[in-house]
Amino acid sequence: MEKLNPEIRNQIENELLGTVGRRYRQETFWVIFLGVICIGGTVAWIIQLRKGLGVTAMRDYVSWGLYISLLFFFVGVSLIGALVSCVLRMSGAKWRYPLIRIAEAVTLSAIFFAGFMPILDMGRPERLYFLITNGRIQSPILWDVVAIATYFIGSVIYFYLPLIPDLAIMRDKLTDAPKWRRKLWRWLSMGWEDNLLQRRLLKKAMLILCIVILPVAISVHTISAWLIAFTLRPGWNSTIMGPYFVFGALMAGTAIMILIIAKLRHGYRLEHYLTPKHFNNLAKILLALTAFYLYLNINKYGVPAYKMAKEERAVLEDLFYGKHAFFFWFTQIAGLVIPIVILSFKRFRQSIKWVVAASVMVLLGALINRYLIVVPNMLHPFVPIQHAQHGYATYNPTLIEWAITASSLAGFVLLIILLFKPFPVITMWEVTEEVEKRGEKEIGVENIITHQNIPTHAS
Amino acid sequence: MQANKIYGIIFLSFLLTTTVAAQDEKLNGNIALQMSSNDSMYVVAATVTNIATQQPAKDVELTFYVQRTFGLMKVADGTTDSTGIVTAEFPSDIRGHDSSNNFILIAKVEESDVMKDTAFQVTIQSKLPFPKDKPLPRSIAGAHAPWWLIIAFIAAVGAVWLLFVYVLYLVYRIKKASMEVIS
Repeated sequence: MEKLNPEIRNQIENELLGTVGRRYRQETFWVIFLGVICIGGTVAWIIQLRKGLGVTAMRDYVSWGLYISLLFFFVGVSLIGALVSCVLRMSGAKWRYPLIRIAEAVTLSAIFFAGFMPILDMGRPERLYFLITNGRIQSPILWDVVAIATYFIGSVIYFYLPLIPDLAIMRDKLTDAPKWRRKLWRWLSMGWEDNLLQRRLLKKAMLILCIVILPVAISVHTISAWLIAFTLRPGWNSTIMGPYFVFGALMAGTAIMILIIAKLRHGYRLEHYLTPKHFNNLAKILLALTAFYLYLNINKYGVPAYKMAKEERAVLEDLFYGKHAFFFWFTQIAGLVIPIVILSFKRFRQSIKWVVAASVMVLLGALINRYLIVVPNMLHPFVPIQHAQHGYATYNPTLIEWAITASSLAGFVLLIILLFKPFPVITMWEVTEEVEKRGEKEIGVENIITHQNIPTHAS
Repeated sequence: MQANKIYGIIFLSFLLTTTVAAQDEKLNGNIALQMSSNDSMYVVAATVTNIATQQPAKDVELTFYVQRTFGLMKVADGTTDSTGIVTAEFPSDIRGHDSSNNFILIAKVEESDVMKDTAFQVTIQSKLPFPKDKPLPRSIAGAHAPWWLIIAFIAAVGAVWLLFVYVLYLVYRIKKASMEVIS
């Protein structure tokens, strides 16, 4: 493929830079809405800090409630960065290029809030310091803290590396931006001149990080699974937990990725770059992951249900036809079976609306499933507490917990939005480079070369 | 106010008054403990007296506990006879809970019909030797982690962080490369 006409390259860059710093009415509404939820959650957290964990419904039986369920959800979603940046890179999927920055932003935001959830659950934040100074190296809790911190730093670096050439483009093109922004871009672009040595060094750094981040990402979620699998409790005492968490995480991450690119495509008018091909390919991945996760679920619940060992009976009965039965069957049918049926048809996979609908169901199922992994198992220990008060043997989250949980989810989405305010959504240099090398079709973009009069936001 | 409501209030007041009166009717008691032992058992004789009359209190239920780290361990119980005495036995293989090798025996009157709640405790020297502070070997469940775990953990985390540092060094070289002339 020949080099792009400089005029077209210029138009592409202008179009992608058009989203930087621009205010969209709908986006402003969401920022305010999510910000208000975050403020509400912060107030609830202050109340929790002042009065202690007694304001939550967590007691002797259920000591991990919504907060740790959400930790597992966030850690899971954070795996999407590793999937797009590493797995797809290694598999040679060229259509990944327009998705890389979005996936990394989702990862960064998710792992940030994943690190926050244990602090909420500890009650007193200073306990994190004592966990580090007095932590036992044998404890998976210490491993989890170290793994999350490592993955967060790795994700920050991975978010930054492909940004360097784009920062240089912004430095050179957006000369009418506020002075402090131009100064920041100049500093962060590391004097990028797009020379051969710089390109070689950048690609080497990205390759090394790609190889390192994948085992780190998998270890983060495996360790989260070990937090419960190393505990002798019905439902948790299983060797399947590691892969069960990792594949559940990839599934949830892919679903949230589809939802976010659907929103960005429409909201930022990126229809040329985030095309039905991306949705179709992500839908295929989601189909494979959902089907495999259903298979894991059959093993996780089916095998103990066949034996119905005395110790497992109470928790299985609770899930199959007890208090949590509605949510359990919702996650299995609406969260897995129906999306598998929808995504199995090519006609539905090629429809963005159907792919989004299936992703919503998968994501909702995944979110509820995290709760079901944690709470019902804690309510049915091997050795029940004698003469426990009624309130100690049940778990109904309080308003404080719901407020903090809602604000964490809102903060997660808000941080993704805010990450796209100072930086372009699409990796400009990689997309243009790959379009030059391989053409639009393989990258999955549409009409960016042939479309001469692209309606830019900047114009 | 309706007449039945007034009667209701009077009835409730009567109930409350009689309940308080019943509570007041309970005796204030005193417990005295006398310890002895044979080869395998401790024998405790508790004498319960009415403080007001200094007379023995009969038909008072007593429970005997030994103080442990996280609570009270019940070891015996009984009811006082007409002389106000109850005798109970409990095993002598109870370890001391401090470095002086002592443990605390508590006799309690709890929710008795005749006497208000009261307790008395004595400190007893255990017959078992106090366990010596022997350091446990390094293990997963012990206080100190095994060396293989420490080395594996530090090696895995250290390798990842070293590679992060190397990647940042490459970023530094990118900056440096902007000033170099590329041949």
